[in-house]
Amino acid sequence: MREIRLSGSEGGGAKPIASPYPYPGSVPTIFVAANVNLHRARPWHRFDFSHNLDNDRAISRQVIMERTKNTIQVNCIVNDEAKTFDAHPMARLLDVLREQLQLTGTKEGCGEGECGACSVLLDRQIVNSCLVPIGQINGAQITTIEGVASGDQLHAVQQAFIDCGGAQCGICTPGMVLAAVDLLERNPNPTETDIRNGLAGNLCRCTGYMKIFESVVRACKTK
Amino acid sequence: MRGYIPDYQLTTTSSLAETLSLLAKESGVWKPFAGGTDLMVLLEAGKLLHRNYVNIWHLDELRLIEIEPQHITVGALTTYTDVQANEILRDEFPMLCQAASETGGLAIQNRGTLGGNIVNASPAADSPPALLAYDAEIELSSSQGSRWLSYQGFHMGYKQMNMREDELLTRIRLPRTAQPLKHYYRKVGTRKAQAISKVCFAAVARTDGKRIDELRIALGSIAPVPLRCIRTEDRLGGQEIDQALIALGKEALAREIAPIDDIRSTKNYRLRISQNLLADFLENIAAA
Repeated sequence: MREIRLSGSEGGGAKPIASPYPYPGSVPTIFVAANVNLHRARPWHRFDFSHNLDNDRAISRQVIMERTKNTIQVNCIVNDEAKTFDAHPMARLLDVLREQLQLTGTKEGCGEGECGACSVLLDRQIVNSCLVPIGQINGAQITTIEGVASGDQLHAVQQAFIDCGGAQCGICTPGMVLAAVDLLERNPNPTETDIRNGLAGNLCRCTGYMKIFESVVRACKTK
Repeated sequence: MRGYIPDYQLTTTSSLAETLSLLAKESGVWKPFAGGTDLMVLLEAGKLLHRNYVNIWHLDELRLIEIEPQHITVGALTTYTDVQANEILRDEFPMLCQAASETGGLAIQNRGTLGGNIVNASPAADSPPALLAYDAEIELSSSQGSRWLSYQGFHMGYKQMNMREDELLTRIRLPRTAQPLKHYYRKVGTRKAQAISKVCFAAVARTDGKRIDELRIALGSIAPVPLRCIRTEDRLGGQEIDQALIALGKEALAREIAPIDDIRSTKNYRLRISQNLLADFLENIAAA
């Protein structure tokens, strides 16, 4: 069988390897060179995602552990429905809503209370669900984006967002809608400044805010 | 990466007394957890070093605003939203309400507490300069009783406070005064909402036209602690406001504060802005 030497191994040391090709002499030089390269530098390691797979496995192990270790039983009302579930008291309300209650309308943006994507109403006040630990919500009443419409009837704010093009990529939209619903509940006739202050905790990277602002103005009129 | 949740504990007690006895019994093991607007951010970043917390959010006796003839007492768990909603606070302590309205957005103001803003001990916090300028007092409670102390001097170094591990900050007291005061509060940040201060300036003064009869100045983000600028006050107190005095004040302030370069701003910018705000404040009270 034909032997191929690793490049640069002339005169020394490297172990010859057997060609995997069934027809000796038929392998083009360029192919051989590439093959040799494979055993050396693995230049495409940058495109190797296997380490990410390991990480994903670690995260899912963590999620499983979080769901089973030192959990407490929590009773609360989510979108007018009584819920009972077990969760770790330091688990984030955001994660429990999305992963345990399957209410994935609430989005995670920054995870540190800056962007408002995860806004929900907690006891009729707007909060960032990424900053609320489960240990503090026993007995609370929570409204997520899934609870804003009544049945098939959209809330005036939701309809206004559709009519005015207030949503683009959609990540900030659930939080924006809840912030607007909260604003209109406290103040049915907000001034321009009130609207800007009401939405100040919610970031949008698509719309430039004007269409969102117009949506809220329209919702005030149609409500 | 987020902290590993099962490593942490968040226990809920049934009353303030039970919380205090837990803090006393296992001193140093437990720390209070209120609105979570600072702690949960650290947890998410994997930087929450302390592991065991006692939940105090539900202790309603610490969430109150009591109006008395001599002072107003605010519970440590009073949120920024509660502070802004109180008419008497808005009237007599407008800088505190302004600080509350400029901290985070609404969602943060609904959860962040005045007590939390103090004991989180960030030098960049927005309400401490206002509290210092109003000469606030704070109550620390433990299972052995409670003590009132002046807020000024409470912060002893970066994140170092004059309190024991078994103590809980329970109330904040603001002295009322019949004399008309001029209030000046400015937060300088990258943008209007949500930003953390580059410089935060709070000052009150009583003047008879030109002469400064009474003056208290406090700044945030320019030292390892929220700083009451006593030496600058001494330099300015009892004098008539003119350009020479403003220059003296700027010089005294530069000697008293110790700004640094960090991710939010630079030492030079902070120094310049602090001096400009002092000048603006003095010109304002002279003009009024």
